[in-house]
Amino acid sequence: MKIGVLTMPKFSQNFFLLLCLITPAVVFVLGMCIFPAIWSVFLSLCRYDFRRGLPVFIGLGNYLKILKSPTFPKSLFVTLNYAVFTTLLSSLIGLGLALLFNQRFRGRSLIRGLLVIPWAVPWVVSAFLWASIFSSDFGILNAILYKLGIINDYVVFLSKDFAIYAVAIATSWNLSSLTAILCLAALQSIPESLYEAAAIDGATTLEIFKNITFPWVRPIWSLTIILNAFTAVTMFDMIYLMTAGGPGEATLTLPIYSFRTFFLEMRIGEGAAIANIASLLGLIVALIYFRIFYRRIEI
Amino acid sequence: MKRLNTILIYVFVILAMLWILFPFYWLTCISFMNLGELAMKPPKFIPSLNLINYIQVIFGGAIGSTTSFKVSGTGVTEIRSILPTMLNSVLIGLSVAGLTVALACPAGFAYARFEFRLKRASFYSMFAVRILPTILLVIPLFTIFRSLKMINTHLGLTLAHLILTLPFATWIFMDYINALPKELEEAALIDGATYFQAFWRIVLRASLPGVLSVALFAFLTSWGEFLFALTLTNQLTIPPVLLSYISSQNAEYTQFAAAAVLSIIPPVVLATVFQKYLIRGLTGALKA
Repeated sequence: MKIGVLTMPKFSQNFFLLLCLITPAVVFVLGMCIFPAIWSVFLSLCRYDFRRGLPVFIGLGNYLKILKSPTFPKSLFVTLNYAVFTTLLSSLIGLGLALLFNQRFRGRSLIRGLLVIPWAVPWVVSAFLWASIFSSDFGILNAILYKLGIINDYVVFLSKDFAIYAVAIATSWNLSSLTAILCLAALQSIPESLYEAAAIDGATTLEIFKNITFPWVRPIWSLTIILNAFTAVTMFDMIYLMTAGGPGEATLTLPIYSFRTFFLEMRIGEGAAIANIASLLGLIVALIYFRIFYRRIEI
Repeated sequence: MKRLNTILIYVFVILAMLWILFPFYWLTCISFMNLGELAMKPPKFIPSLNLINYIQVIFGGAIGSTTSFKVSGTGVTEIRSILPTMLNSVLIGLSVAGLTVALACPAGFAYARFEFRLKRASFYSMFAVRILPTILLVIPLFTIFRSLKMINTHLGLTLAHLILTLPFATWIFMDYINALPKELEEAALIDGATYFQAFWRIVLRASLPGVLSVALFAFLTSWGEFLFALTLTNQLTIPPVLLSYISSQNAEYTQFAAAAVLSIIPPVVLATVFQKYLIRGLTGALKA
């Protein structure tokens, strides 16, 4: 075993040290996750016998039931719709904010400091912030439009057709913050000499962006796109708190669907099965992530 | 042309600030209103500075005794003080931060400095599990915690939050150690220190900013975490308690807004004051 450049003489002692350092974290995470994950796969293959309080193995019945139900394809579509819209919006706004805050203007460092705020706000609060903007009873958006005379009466923004986009905008508010922070950090690391060289060559602003700025920020930006996509696919808090899946089933994404089935309708097996299907979606995003970034992670 | 450019930049900066800050403006406004003012069409855009909601949320008491008297099935609603919940949130947040540092920092150090079998495998599998959506973990954890009688305990929620923080914290810290020169420990080793001493005295001290960013990240995650707190406890921390304000019979939006403003003060202050460390941790780990 090599540590740094020194080869340690006592193998056993170092092995023991290594065990002490690493096992607690790894064992804890794996134990707390892998066992539950296997357990949820098992639950999804069972019917829960409430009388005896035991799961009874029934095979793929729950999955067949879900795939046949009319709610499932709707829910899958809603999830994808929400995820795509959220990912696009948050990544674009995030990049935009980063590019903007990389310009020179008065009070720049102070204003840059604001970027971290949406990220630090818990989902519960961001959900209510945006619910109070879109609300049909006391929403500020309605109030402003009403005051300006654009609408005659308050509009229901969290409606069947628009609710999912309203939630996506709200989610993007939070996600664009981290995207902007990461992209801004990348932008700041661009060496000044590159810009100087471009200025000497007489490059236009667009050319500078295309050939210097964007290529420099692209790796971290694509990383944030994947992160945002993953967060959106698995998002529970924001949707549950803003609309709870409603109105009707308009915002019933897979995680909400799973929660409703498991905790509210007490259909244990089916709820677990939906959760498993939902995690497949997250897994696909994660696979894309590792496919793209596998080589970048040096451990 | 240059002038136009400057004007455009300022216009966009103002728009960006509106995008970031405007939602807080309305929340703060609502926290100063009573239900009557909230229902006005159009509302007052600059409400009077009425602290009654804050007083009720902090000290508890009957709702509606002053402005809008609402009678529900059981009579006047009593509102619970948010202070005990805040204390719970702080306690759990601190335990999560402490345990995350205690577990993730040694592991991150080992990943950065040691070569061993299963290094990659164990590192990636830690992330693989973090990739599972929280909802997938909630269901089995709920059944397991129930049989272990760990539902609604500080310990249970702390352990559940650790699942969320550990993998990323390990990554943050590993990146931090990677950035430290190896000569630091090697010099200590040559001077006759054991490897443990080198870690404890030299590396840990040099990487205190890394420890701080791990702890901050863990605390903030725990403070805002909703789904575990909702399902594994009976409103132990702030997020589910906030929800209980709006989902209760009377939908106390104004009190909720006051509680929400109070609940975001700690994370916003922490994140703003220590943002150098947070951003360093986040960018470092994600760029790796």
